[in-house]
Amino acid sequence: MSNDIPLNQLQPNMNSFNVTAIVLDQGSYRRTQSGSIITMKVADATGSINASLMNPEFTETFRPGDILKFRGAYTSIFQSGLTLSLGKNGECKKIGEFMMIFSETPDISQMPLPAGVTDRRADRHSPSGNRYQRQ
Amino acid sequence: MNEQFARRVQKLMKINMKCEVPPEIISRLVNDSIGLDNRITGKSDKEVIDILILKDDQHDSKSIGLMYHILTSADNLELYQRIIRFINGGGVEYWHNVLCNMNMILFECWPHIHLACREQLVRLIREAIRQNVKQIENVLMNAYRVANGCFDNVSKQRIFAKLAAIIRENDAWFKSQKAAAALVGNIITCTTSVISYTPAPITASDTFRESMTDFVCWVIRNRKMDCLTLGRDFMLVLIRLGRLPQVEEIWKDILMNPASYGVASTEDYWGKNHYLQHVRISIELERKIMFMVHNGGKNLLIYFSWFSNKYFRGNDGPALRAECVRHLLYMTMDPAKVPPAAFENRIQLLHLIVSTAPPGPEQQWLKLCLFADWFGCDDRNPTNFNYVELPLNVVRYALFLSPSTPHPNSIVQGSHCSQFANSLLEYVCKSVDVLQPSSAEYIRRNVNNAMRYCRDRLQHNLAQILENSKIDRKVSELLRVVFPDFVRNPNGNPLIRPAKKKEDQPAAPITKPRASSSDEKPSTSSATPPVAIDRPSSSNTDRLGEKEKKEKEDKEDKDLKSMVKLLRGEIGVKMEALRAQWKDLDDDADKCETIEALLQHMLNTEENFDEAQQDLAAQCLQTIMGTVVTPEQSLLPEKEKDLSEAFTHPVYSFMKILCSPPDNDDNSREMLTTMMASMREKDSSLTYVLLYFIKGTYGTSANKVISCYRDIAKISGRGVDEMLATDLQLCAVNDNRLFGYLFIFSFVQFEKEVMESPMLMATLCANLDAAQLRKFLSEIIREEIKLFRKDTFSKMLMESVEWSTAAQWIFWHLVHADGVPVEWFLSCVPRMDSKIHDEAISNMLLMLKRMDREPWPGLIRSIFQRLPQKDDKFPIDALKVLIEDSDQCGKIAEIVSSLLKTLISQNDILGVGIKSTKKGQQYKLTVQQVIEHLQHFSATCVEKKNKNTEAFLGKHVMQEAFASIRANEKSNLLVKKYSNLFGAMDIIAQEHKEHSSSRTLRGNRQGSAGDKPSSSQQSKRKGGDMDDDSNSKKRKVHSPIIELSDSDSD
Repeated sequence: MSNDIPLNQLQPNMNSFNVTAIVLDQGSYRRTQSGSIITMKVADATGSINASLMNPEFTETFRPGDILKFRGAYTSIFQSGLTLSLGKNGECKKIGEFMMIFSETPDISQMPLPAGVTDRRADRHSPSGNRYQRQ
Repeated sequence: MNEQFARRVQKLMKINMKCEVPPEIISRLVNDSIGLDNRITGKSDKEVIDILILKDDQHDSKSIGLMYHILTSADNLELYQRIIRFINGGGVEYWHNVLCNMNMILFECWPHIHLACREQLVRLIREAIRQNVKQIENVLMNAYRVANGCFDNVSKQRIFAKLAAIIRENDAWFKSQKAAAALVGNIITCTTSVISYTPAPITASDTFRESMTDFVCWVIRNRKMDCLTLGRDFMLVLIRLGRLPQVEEIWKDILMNPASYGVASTEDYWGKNHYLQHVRISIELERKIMFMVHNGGKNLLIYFSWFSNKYFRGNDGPALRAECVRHLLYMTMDPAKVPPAAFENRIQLLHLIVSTAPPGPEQQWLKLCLFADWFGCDDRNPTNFNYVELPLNVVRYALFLSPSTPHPNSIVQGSHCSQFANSLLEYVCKSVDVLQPSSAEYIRRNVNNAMRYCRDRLQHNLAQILENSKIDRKVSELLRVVFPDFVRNPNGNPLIRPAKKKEDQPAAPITKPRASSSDEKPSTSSATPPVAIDRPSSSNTDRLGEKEKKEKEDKEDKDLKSMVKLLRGEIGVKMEALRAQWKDLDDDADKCETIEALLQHMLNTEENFDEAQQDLAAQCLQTIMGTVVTPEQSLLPEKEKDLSEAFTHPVYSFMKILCSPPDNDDNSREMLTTMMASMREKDSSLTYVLLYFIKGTYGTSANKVISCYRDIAKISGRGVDEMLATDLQLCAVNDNRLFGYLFIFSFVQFEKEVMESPMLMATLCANLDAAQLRKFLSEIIREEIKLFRKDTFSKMLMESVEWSTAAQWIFWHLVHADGVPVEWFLSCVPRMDSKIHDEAISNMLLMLKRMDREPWPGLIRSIFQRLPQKDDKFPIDALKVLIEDSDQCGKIAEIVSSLLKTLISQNDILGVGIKSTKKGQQYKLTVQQVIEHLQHFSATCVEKKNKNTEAFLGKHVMQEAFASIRANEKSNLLVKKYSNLFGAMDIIAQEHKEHSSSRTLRGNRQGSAGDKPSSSQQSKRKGGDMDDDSNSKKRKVHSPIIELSDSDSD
């Protein structure tokens, strides 16, 4: 676990890092046009963050209190908040349960993004950059 | 991860390898089994045994690999027997290895593995017992322990049935075991726990419960002496099993033949602890509980919700809760090793386990488990006192817990807080006589012993619990009966001291009503309640008290010595010198000088005097100086001018330096504040004494030093308001005169906190007497104190509705005195419950009546925002109050009319009690809701003497508003639904028309009429017109319509 990154040190556009976190809110599994996604809220001792697993090989969600190890994770911006994401090259496995110290605050997904960081997803939807931008 | 590994893991446990890593111990079992197979495949039995017993570096690995094959050979008898042959071939020493591995599997793998694997382990235990393997009883005990963990009912029953069968078929082995007290204890407690939640059999073939009950009774009868190990938990077991014939036999046997159980009576069981509590719950539960206690902190509620979701939701939930309560009470916690918050976490956890249990018998049982050590607190066994403080701390915790919004992730709902504390105290008081009626006196004595111990430990904090304003009167009375030496009488006078007065008034026990005649015969005393019976022994109690006092002093002295020893360097030497010479110092002045000198040394020392050392020094100083508060004497001198001589106790020397440290040095201030905070942990009266000292010494310049009080609060981890509220509450209980002296000062000094803190306001309102209230009002009127602020008032008001009636009346007196305007509470109007918030509602009406400004739309809106209900008279009364003045009536009509028109234009027409999306608004206002209120209003208030209602409804603007409702297509439905109101409006309109036309005619005839006929004149005129046939005809038509029925609106 020594190479795990604490959640509060996550920054936008980080790639291929490992995180160990505990599930606070099991979230949901849902199908999308491009595949499937599991979303949940996880935390470690430094804060909490929304996490999403893209196209997981399983359909069941984790339970609150499960301790998860994320390998090869990356950060993305979703709904103007930082999100911990895992793609097809990453791995997320339950390694234990319950016995992990965590802190719900700060909620990293709710924190304001650093200046200059935008929601790429929003950019994609709007041909002229941010769709909420005044013309 | 290869396929073989995955397959073998799947054979042991259910796991989705794509999203789960198998537990480390499971991986080890599998890897070692693969390693073993590589070494023994193709070898003969003899060669295999040689490999197994060979003590190389793979020895452990080989034996663990072997365990894998035991666990997974449920369907392969041949393999199982072959492995047993290998183990037997290895001899006694190899069996010892196997037993270690069995324990390891029980501790680490049991919750994860398949039922079939668990049964294989039980099968191996059976084999070991059959072969009389040494120390197998330990493994069996652990098997009972883990079997009582969390599984589905069927698995649990199967394991328990198999374990019982093993013991039954090896009864000779079981009876011959010499040192098996722990095993017997575990069998009895775990099996009873399983029996307690197993439902009654539905079919004749379902004999599990019956057979388990027989089994427990059989164990008890065959190992009578070992039952004593369980101590009072053995009594709990028998009570838990209930009134079954088999259990009744055991009760009789204990009563008739106690010597065979190694006791003189059941009281010997009650008076003894069960020291093996920690081995009765499964390792999994134990580890999680330990984790919550050590690391719970602010997340304890979340951890507990996960914990209770997993363990307490099944049928066995209540039984497991009880096991956890007993385990927590006896949990060993070394203050040097555990974090300081762990002690409070344990209390919070106990509170959560008991308070979130389903109410009824199960919760009652948990209360018994919580207080069992009180009932058995026999002072002949000093270790009994180790377990009595915690239950009272749970009461304290519940009492001071304020209801909060439950965490969104938590299943735990807001607990009942003070009601729960009340129920715990009530339970203790009522159980004394009914728990075991034949030993009622013994139990009563024990609970009083427990309370005495708690008083010695908690000092003044005990009164804070037992005499708290949140304790119901009924419970207070019960407490007074059961704990006469610890609870004051109702008028707050000093503790009851029966010894002196009793000689003069032997036949007047406090529990008797005053009406009891003085010529009562002495024989009646035999029929008096147990408290009265207790009284003659008060001299013994006093003797006992003296003895205990001495014991306590000795203990304190011993503790002090050990603490002083921990102090390093010169400070330690000086502290030891202070301790030794303290009793020899003649007067307070000498003591003060010595304390000051020591403090100066501490402040100037260059040694490493870190926080831990400061804590220790503070505790030593506090123990040496003793407390300044005495139970029956006020700290405040009779005359205020004597104040200068009041601060002679050495504690004040400490406070003097705290308030004005030498050279005004920040480091010195910080150190002294830390020490004070540490001293406060032991004696919470110290901080109100500090307030007294500041006020008495610094007077008007107190604001310069009051910051040290804030610093203490900060270091103690409390809010200033919280600490001030606790201090004032404690002061009010301990020393009412001092409270009277301090409360205004506190409110002036902490004005900001007072304005924001409902807790402080609650303390004030609960404790003010008439004279203090008058003094306080006078201060408010003279603008010395400002109590309320607009932004926090509504929060305070909503909190106040939960207080006692007397406290609420005082609160409203303060509101009136502070000149709070009506606008401040408007947001609360819709939220007041007409059934329970009587005090607030009646005061709001009074304020509306006395309102000295014109009504405004917000006011009317908030009244109509209330959900219309038949029995809610507040909107009706409020409207009636507002239209009393004829000028104001017109204004109200305009506002209502404008409101109706606005709602129509916004298309908010239909629906009542629609949830609002706007922040701060509970319900969305609609035309229908306003009409419904008006219907209730008109049905209740027409045809009164002053005819205000008719005048209001008859206003031109009101008629216009109703016309616009009629004109709107969507609101047609309302015209039909509230036809009576609309009909009444028509008639009132017609009447007004006729009146105005007749007035015009009359005015024309008389030439000059009065400018504005008064309402009384109008009514007189109407009275005069009563004879008029046409009018009476109209009235006949009017009456049935005006007398509206509310059923329309339902």
